[in-house]
Amino acid sequence: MKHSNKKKKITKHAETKKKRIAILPIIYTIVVLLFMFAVFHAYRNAFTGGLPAGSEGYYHERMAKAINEKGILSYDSLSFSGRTYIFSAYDYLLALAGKVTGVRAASIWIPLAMAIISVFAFYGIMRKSGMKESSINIALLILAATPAFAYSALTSNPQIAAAAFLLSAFYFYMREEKAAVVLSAILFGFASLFGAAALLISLSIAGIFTIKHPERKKRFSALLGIFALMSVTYIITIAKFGLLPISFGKSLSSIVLELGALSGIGIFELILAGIGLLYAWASKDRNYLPISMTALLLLLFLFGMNVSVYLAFACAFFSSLAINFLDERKWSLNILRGASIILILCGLLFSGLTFMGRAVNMEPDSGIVDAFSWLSNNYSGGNVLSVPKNGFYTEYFGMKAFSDDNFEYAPNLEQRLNASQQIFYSRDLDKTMAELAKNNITYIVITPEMKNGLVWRKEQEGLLFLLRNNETFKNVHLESTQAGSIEIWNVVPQVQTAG
Amino acid sequence: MKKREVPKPKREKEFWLILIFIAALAFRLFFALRTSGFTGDDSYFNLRQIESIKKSGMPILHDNLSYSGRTFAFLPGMHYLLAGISFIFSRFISNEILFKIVLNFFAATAAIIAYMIIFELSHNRNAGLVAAFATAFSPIFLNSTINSISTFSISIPLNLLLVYFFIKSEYDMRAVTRFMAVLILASFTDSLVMILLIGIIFYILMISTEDMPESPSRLELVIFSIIFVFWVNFIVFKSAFLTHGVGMIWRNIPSAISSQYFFRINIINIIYRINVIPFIAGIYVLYNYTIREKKKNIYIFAGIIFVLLMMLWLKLVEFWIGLMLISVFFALLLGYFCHSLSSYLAKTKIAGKLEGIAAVFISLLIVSTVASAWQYANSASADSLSQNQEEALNFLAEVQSEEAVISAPESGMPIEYFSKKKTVMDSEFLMIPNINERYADIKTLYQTPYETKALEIMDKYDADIIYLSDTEREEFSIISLKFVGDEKCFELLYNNSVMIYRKLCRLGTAG
Repeated sequence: MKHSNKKKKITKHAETKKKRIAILPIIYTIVVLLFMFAVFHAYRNAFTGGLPAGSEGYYHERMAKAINEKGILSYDSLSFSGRTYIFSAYDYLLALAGKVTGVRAASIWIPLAMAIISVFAFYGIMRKSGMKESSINIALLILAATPAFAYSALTSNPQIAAAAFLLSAFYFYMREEKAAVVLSAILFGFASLFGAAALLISLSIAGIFTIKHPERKKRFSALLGIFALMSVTYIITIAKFGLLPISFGKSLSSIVLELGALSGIGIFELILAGIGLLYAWASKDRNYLPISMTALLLLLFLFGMNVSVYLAFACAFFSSLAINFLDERKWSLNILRGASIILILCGLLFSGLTFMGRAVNMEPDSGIVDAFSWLSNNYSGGNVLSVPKNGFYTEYFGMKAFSDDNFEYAPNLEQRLNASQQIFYSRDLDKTMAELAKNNITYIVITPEMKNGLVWRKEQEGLLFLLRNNETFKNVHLESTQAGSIEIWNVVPQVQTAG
Repeated sequence: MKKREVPKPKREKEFWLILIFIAALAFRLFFALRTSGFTGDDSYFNLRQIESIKKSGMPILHDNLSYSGRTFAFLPGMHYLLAGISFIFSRFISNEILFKIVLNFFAATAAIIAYMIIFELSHNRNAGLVAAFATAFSPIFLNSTINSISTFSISIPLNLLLVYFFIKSEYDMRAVTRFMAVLILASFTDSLVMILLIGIIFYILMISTEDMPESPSRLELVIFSIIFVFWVNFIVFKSAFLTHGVGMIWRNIPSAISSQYFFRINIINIIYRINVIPFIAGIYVLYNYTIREKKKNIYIFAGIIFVLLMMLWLKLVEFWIGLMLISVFFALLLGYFCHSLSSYLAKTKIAGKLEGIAAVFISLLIVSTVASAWQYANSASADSLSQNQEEALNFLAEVQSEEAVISAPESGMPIEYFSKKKTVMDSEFLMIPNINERYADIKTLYQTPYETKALEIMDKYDADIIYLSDTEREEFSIISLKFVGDEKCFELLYNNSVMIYRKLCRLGTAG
């Protein structure tokens, strides 16, 4: 009896130890993530006064504040001089959390929390699918260092929240317990509210998994009902505004970090993922789910959808397979094995460092914020014209933006973009004035970036030439920044003379 | 790994190989030493870098002269090698002559490596000699390397050596280590090795579709090489990739002149430039040994040539670089063709007349190759910096000025090297913002009849000297500058086929 108790104790101890070891990679991954988070915010606190990075965050922060003030939103009076509000569950999530912590704090902490949740869920999925312990550990560490994932954890955006809900939902979908089934249905439902891409991916991941697990057919049928319910939001939007135009052919520059994509994937990880994909293809029966999901993600990417976060998970998975393959393979020359693995690790590390080096210097800097803040204090109505990426700042400070980066269902989008082009590039004062008056543009904000190739390439090009006319344009503010001066111009209303 | 017995080359054949090498070197030096200058403006960029390394141990990465201040991104392997050689020998011989001898020596070694490759594939010494000869006198290779300080003089032999060790790596473990060593050298010399690797990836794809097994050591080499070469290039060209994205492939060349570097190929043009005999022989070998007989190692050449042709067609590689590589690989295939032809003829009734047929074939090859090589080598030598230009540049060095010199992009680097003056533009376009506008401004300056326009452009770029040589005349289709009539505003400093003007006035505001 005593002997059997002792044996039980030993077994229990071994199990606890095993569990502890199994949880270690998650702890390492979260430590890496927290370290990046700390460095990122410490740097931004020191050099930009702690401004949240990325213009998109300012949009969501404004909408969350509006939700807290007005309740359910249906109209946004500042974006594109006023438009129908396109529902995003992320804004409501921020608003809800903002009630406790304040919206600004929520927009910093929620992405991090969602990134941590998605790490747990990703870990759970990999364990549940019987992946090797060593591959799981590597995949988690690679994920933490993947720029697309780190970017989502460090900036306020709906993608990471969608990924967290979706992965958690799928983790519970894989489990047998009844409570898990209910939980997965609820979480899939929530994930679908974060955008059409999330809905499509949720539907596909559950569907593909069910094909190989026919015993889950009933569950999937129930899930289909939930997806149908959740897609009502999108169906109403499509019925109201029509289908979004598909923009084919996203370039490599929008997904490869080294080619300029900040929220992309490092070239080494892509090479590794390619090797991993080839390796996985050899046993495609076992890896049918990641292979088909990656194919779907690449398709969505080509159709112009923002799926870089999901691709980060896929790349981390395949890269870990590749590293495992390279490590376990019987090399004819051991020096090649060592050299290859060292180079890969250095490559991944450099990608991470490159990302951090660029991420900490992301827009906005204090110059932009000060300039828009000045304008908001001296704003006398009308539309503010700048490049679309500055639109979210304009709106954040309570002014009407002529255009912003949220092109989805924007009213008269093409006409507005054409008008911007006309104003920026024409040297005909009468035509420009007519266009400004027609669109009720009262202020023009010019950043150094616009003068350095984003809009103009020559000193006296288009509007820059016309701005010399001080009867029509008044330079009301000049904000000096490291990159140059931000200019704010007031369009002087023209007095109509009779006869 | 099976060890294969390879017959050792015979002494007599080694004599012929050495003779081809010496003939190639002598031919190269004959044309290279005819002129004191170098061909191609990038020779002068390389000279500056070598001299900087020799002086300070570091290349010029932040340059105050080029574009009046810019950052360079390049692979410095050749520059360190030449700086080291210059450090040892410059007491005995001038740098210019030393570099001409050393680089032509390296380039001529391509013949020996070509022999080794074809001998390895065919075990036929005569075939090896034909490949050696055709490679040594490959007209486009000669044209690009005979009188230039060019990385190709080193990287082409290194890339051929990589092919040789790759072929051997199937059965010889020592070749794997040697491949790695050469790969490291080639990766720091220039980016040609990337094209070779993409070609090898295609080779692996082709043999896998043919269900041919590949040795593990080769696969490992390819995995390591891809990772290593990408790693080196992405570290060295990190800023350039971030600035230009995929456009980095086109080196930020102004769109007005990009057609001089990248243009779509037509097959007649290729046949004409790489010579009809190697072309037909190469096509026959590729067809016969990849489609009919399926020889695995010939697929390596097929992969590389296919990638090169695709890249040329898609304008992903500069025309002359692509053509140079193709011509070298076709020269190799010519050797293999001779092996194949002689094996075939030996089985026919005319086997007894084999030597006569070989003599006719070799005479035909020598005549056509050497004639073409002579023409290309002559043109390379004639295109070098002339005595007049060198004198003008030395004069420019004496001119006191803190502002920049305006010239055509091709004159920029010689100006920086000889006169140590700032320039508005040279032909290293990478990471220069608004390059099209800059080129358009310079073109306008050379072509405008209006003094005010010229002054406006010169003021814009803080330039006070205009350089007008045959390069500018040809590039901008002019004979002389039309706006320099007012002597109070433009002073002619130098006039001896090259003309140098100094700006004396500035655009003012009426007041």
